[in-house]
Amino acid sequence: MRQLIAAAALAAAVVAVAAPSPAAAQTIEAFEWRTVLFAQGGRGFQSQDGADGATATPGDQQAIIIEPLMWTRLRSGPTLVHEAAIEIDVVSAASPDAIDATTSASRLNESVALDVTHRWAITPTDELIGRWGFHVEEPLRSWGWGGGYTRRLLDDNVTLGGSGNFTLDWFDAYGPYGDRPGLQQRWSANANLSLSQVLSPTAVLDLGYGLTVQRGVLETSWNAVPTDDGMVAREELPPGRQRHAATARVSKHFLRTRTTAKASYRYYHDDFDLDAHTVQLYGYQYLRPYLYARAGWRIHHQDGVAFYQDVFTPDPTGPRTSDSDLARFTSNELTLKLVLLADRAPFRTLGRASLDAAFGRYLRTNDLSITWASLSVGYKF
Amino acid sequence: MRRLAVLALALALVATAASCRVVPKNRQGTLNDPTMKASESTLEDRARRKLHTSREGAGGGDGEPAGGGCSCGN
Repeated sequence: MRQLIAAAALAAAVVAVAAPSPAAAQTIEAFEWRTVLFAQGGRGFQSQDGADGATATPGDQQAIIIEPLMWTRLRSGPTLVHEAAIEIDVVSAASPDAIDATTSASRLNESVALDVTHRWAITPTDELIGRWGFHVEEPLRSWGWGGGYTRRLLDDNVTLGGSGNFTLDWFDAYGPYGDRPGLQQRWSANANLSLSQVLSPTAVLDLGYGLTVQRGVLETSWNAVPTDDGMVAREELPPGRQRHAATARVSKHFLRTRTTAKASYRYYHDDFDLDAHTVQLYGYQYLRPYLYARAGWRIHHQDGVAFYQDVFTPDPTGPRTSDSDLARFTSNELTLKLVLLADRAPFRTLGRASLDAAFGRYLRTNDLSITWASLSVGYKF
Repeated sequence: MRRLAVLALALALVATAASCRVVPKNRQGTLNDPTMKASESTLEDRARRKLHTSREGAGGGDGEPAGGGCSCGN
């Protein structure tokens, strides 16, 4: 409840920022409200609900997640734009664990996050970006800061970008038996490069690379690894992690059929010896000038961290995890989306609104499935 | 799968790059179509990124800060 109150306060703060002031008149340019519902099923060793190391039985990960999100863009003059996103998560009974021994935290957990971005067009082709935000969740507090720069070249045919972000997590750690080591922290520093190249009047190529360095207590402190005597031991990850991700995407529009196709590939590698490949394919089809449908397929394969095991011997030493998110698996996701762009419609009753409804099914080979649905309303002023 | 992905991207590049040249602004209208934008919705991107980064240890770290310790994207 405290998080929901905090969210309401944040929303009020955003509205206050949007209110006209004598110093700089601000106008709302766009607004979006989206609600996503996730229904998760499956089993994993990070859940202690029915987990048993002696019989290699993972715990139940059934959960319902309701996620309302709000986004708005405000303008303060011809060169300065602000964007604010608020995200709330209400999670029921996700991966019951040791914290439940003392707080029953996972029975119903809420979180709220605020992410603010400022964009300053310093010239017609150059933009500076600043961002800040925080995330509040029992038992985690997270703060983030960042900045970036983009430059458009060759009549906007090429866009180059660079950005950096820093995130500090501060959390109240609990051990797998409900013991409380106290406040702990970790940080992440992230640098990104991007290139967008117009290939033709109907095609674009986007390339990106990101490097993330993390230090501190990286494990989820209450995560446990099962041992084959039927007990559990504390999860332990190395104190640092260096992650690389490179992405390439091609987007192409076919004028004759009003169809758009997008294909992307992402390669990931980190020093936990985790390699991953992700391919995404999207097809868009205009059904009317104001209505289009999108179908998407995403496949992700990762080979698992070097120190993952389902079950350990009693009193294990060294890095170890049984978190199924770090295991070897392949996930497939199918999505469908229908979008109405009211400003293109022959009827004018909805003004410049946009509406969309989306549905997705995510399946992982190591026993996790998620069905999700979302509804969104947006408006351009 | 990596070979297939590289092949698919190479084919797409060949198909689209055949006429690669500087496109004047007055011929870039199609590129501003909602279906061609890199991001259709900030909130949709955010929700889907969270779905993937909180359940895939190899998620995140590109374009956005990858926080958390295990796979958590927070």
